[in-house]
Amino acid sequence: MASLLQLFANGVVFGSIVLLASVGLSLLYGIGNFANFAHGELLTVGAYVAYVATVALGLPFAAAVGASVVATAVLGVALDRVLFVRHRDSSPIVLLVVTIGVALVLRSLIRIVWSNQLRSYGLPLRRGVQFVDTTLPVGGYDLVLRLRLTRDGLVIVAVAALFALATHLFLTRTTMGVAMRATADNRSLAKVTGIDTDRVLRATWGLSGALAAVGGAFLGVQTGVIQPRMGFNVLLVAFAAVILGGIGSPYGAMVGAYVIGIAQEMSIAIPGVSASYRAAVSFLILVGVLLVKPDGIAGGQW
Amino acid sequence: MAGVAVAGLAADAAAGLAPLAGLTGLPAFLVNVATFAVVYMILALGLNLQWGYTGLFNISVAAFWGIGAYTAALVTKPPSAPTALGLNLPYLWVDVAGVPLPLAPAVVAGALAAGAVGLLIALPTLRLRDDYLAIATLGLAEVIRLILTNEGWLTQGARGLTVSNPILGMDYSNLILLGVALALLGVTYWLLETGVDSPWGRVLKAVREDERVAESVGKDTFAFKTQSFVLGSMVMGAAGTITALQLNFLVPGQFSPRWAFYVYIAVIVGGSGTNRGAVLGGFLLAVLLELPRFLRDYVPFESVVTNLRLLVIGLLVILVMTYRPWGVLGDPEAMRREG
Repeated sequence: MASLLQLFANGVVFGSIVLLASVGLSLLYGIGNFANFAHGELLTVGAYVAYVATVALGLPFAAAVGASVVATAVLGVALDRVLFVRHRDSSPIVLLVVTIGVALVLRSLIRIVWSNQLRSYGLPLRRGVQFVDTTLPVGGYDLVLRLRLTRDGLVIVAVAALFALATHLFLTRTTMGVAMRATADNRSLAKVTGIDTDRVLRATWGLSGALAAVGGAFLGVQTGVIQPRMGFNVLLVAFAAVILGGIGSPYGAMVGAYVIGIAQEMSIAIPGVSASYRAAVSFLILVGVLLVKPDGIAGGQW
Repeated sequence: MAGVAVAGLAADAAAGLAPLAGLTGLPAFLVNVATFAVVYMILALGLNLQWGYTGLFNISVAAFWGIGAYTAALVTKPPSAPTALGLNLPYLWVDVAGVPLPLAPAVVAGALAAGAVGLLIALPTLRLRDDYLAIATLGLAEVIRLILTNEGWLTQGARGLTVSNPILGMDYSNLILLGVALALLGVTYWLLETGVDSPWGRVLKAVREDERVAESVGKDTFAFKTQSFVLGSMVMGAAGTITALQLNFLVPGQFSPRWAFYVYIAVIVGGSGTNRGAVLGGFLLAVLLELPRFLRDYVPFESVVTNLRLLVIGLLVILVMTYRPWGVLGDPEAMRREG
């Protein structure tokens, strides 16, 4: 029987990765008003750029992630410049279909360059540090309390929190951040008041890509595997977090990410639920939220 | 896993346990491609009802298709065979003068199973905004894939499920199957054309163009959307039964979520909101997906061919959506829906 404490901690680490994936997705959803199905591929691209930088070029991993952030942000801006700028007045569904096309193109390009082969960052394996290991007798049952944390896990949680804070400061303290919130609120009104909404959307693509790059790199660290489908596998989880938080609310997405991450890891402890159905948990939460509170936790507010 | 699926269905069929026989060489290949084309056309017709006519964005095409295929495999077991469910399901094939035709019971069972799952997903999501359905159906596709992979007692999991196909041992079984597929296509096309030309179909188009207006003239738009979604899912399930009989061996990887995107391409490129367009799109999809297999004999890099195919498909979607979002034969109104 796995320790619930351990599963909770695993959930916080996974939730931190989901946070990085879902905040960018949520910003684009709120400001651009469409579901970006290519967001998973932005994570994958981020992971592969970090792979090239660290394995082929020999950069330290932190620098590799930095390079990946820049490269993936540039990719996001480029996608907007070349393609999505033509779709400013398209319906959300047309946009959604276009993002699917983009996802197919990006994924096949990744497959053509790196094939389906599983890769890894080859980071040194570190034993986790045992924090707690006791058994508490609670009303006739023995409650196992065990907690082992790895340095990678702690770094992921800390860096994700840092990015969440940075995003918050960006949105509240910078002109561009305020313009983003105004555009999310009402694009035509923002335009009338002199905000360059074209630039705002381009910047949103860039920010979304930057966050996805870190999420993708961490996903590769946490799972130990880099492969072309990795980002797509997280897309549903990220969407569940976004919907749970309330579409378009980056703060809601942050809360949603931890709820989904923790629920998914802790579902293993439920008797009769096989670990192979972990991925279905986010789907069940998603449908549950849609049924009970379709506006999500934040109710569409920032 | 995913890599195996990329190799595609025809390759799996060719490597299948007992391929359909009768013709050999190029004619057999063409009959095989034609059968795939008909299946894609039926899938596209089902999606066109949901998306083209009603504006419902369904990403679980592969799930409904797979449910149909697996259902057909499960209900067509002969009475002596041990069944997956531990029950002795009745042998649903009906013999006509020694030929197990019509195959209708299996097709109906596949369609009903897909329709039931479609209803389950439609009820919580169709009252909400459009993109919720997209995300919920993406989740459904993943869950169905997990079930097909993990519930070995029912589906044999990744080891694959052999279909006890009654036309296998017959002469020209591949031609018989093509005939059955064409009959199903004809019936589906006729039913859908009749449906969308009726007052019912006009309400669907009204829902697609402006749901609030349709509601304001007293239409229960939720009921119409649910009917459209469930019927479309049933059509996809029916297409799956043909696939079960064509491949004779089902593995979960065949029904990966990616297929939804392929069928969208068929509908979108052919023309959203017309059944003619869906049929044309299904044909184009078969040409795009199946004919490049010829290239494999000449190009040493098989994975490059497979991935270039995906790349071309992705670019095609982007270009069509950017420059002609209503497709080749489409109804321009179909894509003007405001969000």
